[in-house]
Amino acid sequence: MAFQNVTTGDFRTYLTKYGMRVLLNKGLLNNVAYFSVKDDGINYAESVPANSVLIKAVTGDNLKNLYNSGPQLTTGVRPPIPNVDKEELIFIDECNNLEYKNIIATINLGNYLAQLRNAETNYQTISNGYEPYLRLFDEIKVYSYKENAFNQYKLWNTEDRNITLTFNTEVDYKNYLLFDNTHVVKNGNSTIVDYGQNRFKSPFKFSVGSLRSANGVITQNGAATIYFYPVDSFVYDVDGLKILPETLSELTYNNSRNIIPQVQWNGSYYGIKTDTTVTWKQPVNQVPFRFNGLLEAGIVAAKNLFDFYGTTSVLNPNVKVIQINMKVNTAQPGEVKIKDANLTLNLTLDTTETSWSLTGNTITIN
Amino acid sequence: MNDVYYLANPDCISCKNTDAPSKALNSGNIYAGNVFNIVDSFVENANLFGATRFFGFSISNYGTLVYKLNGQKIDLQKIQFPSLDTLYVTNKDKNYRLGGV
Repeated sequence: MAFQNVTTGDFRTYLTKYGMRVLLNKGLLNNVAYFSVKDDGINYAESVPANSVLIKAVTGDNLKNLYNSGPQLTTGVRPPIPNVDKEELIFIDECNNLEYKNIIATINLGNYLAQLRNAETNYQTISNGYEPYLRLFDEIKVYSYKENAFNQYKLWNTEDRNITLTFNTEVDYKNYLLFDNTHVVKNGNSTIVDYGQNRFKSPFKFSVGSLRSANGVITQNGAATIYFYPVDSFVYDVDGLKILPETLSELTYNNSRNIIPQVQWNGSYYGIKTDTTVTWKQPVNQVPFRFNGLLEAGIVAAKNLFDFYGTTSVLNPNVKVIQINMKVNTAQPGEVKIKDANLTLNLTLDTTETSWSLTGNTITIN
Repeated sequence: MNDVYYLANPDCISCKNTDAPSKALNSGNIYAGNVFNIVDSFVENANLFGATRFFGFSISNYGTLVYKLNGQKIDLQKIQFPSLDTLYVTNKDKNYRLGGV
């Protein structure tokens, strides 16, 4: 219920849209029996018959209802009305307790690579909290709102749903393929992997993962991450011969003196670090740190990628930019479409390393 | 997840790490040289949306690599490695999309 002109003789009360909806949907009408309005020194009160659809003003005049449809309500089965008035997509950053309705993120890959270098150099003292990947957000939720008597939307529910990210243009899609180094293709029941056709292959992987709720339901609205993974494949160097892991047989294993794990990347091989006295802490117990020279080879590849495919930043001629624009929405077939959220990635790299900073921001969200 | 996979031919008994229960790489289904595992939701959601292309990874699995030096077997610490997750690309209504119809 709301009030108008409360300080004049034209004082009026009426039901809001929200109030009328509650009456219609929830049957609250039968529970409304009394309301009061208080003024300085004067109390106004009115009892309402339980079966009435009209509420009398304190002057005794009937108030029109919100829909101007006369005093009679139509009874019967109503079409289903969503129990929320508004839905929107929210990006959630759990680490920093932040939420975003849209994201324009500038990713400073130079600072990220500088941090990876530092982690490799100081692998024994690296903090357990260090993450060797970039996390743009932790999840995307659907927030549902109800409208209250004052036309304010109040959060009613939060949900996990599958999401889609639609590339705004063909250029954005191509930029995604340039930046993302491993493509898995499912065709019918067969699944194949495509490592991309870039002339200068990316050492980066960008993806949005899934989320498993407490009740076991998996939804595709998890963390968006960028990971440095300069790997074409693992091989074993078996007494000088290169053998894929899946083909290393019992006979070969038993008859060989040296079997050295290696990473193949851009036509070169990088052997595993063989100091078995080292215990690798979790943040650096990962492929880019465990193979000799691999991290630096990946950094060279990153520079080549951006030098060749990036556009020059207007802010710094040393900085190259690859931009990916996406629209985010839910993916359930038949679902009422929510207003798109926007996700823009400005992926930047100073290919001269001049501005790389160990302590600088890796992600700036506008 | 946090499963451990031995990175060698599943039929190679001597290749297995003997001090921990390990699974064969991808339970014997190798997708590619650096793609070791695809979680169930990946395929499930793909089928749900009729997706034809997939992208994505997580880094929550471990792999054990075989290492022999001068005839001596040496145990290496298990390495975390990325595995494919649930994201994929479809071409719908001339729009390329990650993750759905």
